[in-house]
Amino acid sequence: MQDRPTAVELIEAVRDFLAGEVAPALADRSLRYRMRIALHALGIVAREVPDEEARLRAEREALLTLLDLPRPAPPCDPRLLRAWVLEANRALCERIRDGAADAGPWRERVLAHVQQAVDEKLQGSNPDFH
Amino acid sequence: MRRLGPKERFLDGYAKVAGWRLAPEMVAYWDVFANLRWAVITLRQARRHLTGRERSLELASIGRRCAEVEWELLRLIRAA
Repeated sequence: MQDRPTAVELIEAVRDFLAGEVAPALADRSLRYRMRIALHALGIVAREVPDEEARLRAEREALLTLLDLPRPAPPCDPRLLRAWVLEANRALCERIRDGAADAGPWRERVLAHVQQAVDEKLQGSNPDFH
Repeated sequence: MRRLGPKERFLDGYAKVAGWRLAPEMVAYWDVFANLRWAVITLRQARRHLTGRERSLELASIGRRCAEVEWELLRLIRAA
């Protein structure tokens, strides 16, 4: 366990420094524009790093149900979690491409699941999108 | 389509100038297609950064715009 400041608190300190002290001193328009992109990117990191594992676990649970997969015990090793979710999302894509979600009740479940996943991505990448 | 005002008004204006009317289902199809195209572009731009072929903060950050296009696609597909 690291001492404080945490990784997120350090990122927020860097963001405040760049936004408060560096950005106002930039005269070049193109640099100012790219500074805004950089600050936005740091904001994404600060929003996504906390609870990332919890969100991946929740997505894994939802995919297990949606794809009707056997529930292995013990729960997924945290180091393998990301790879597992990626692989399950590929399997979901294949089923959609095969036409399984073209109509019927599973279509509604897939739409709801993908909407949830997209809303969650937007919470990280651009919470002011709507 | 969002910036062109109400869809009906746009279709009326188009019909007046072109002399034929765009079918709403055709507009819906190309609306989805255009968004899908933009989604693919965001992925390709991010890949230019991720492969190291062209390291760039702008290209990298565009990869995260894909979720916005996905959101719009879901809205359009559900409305179709």
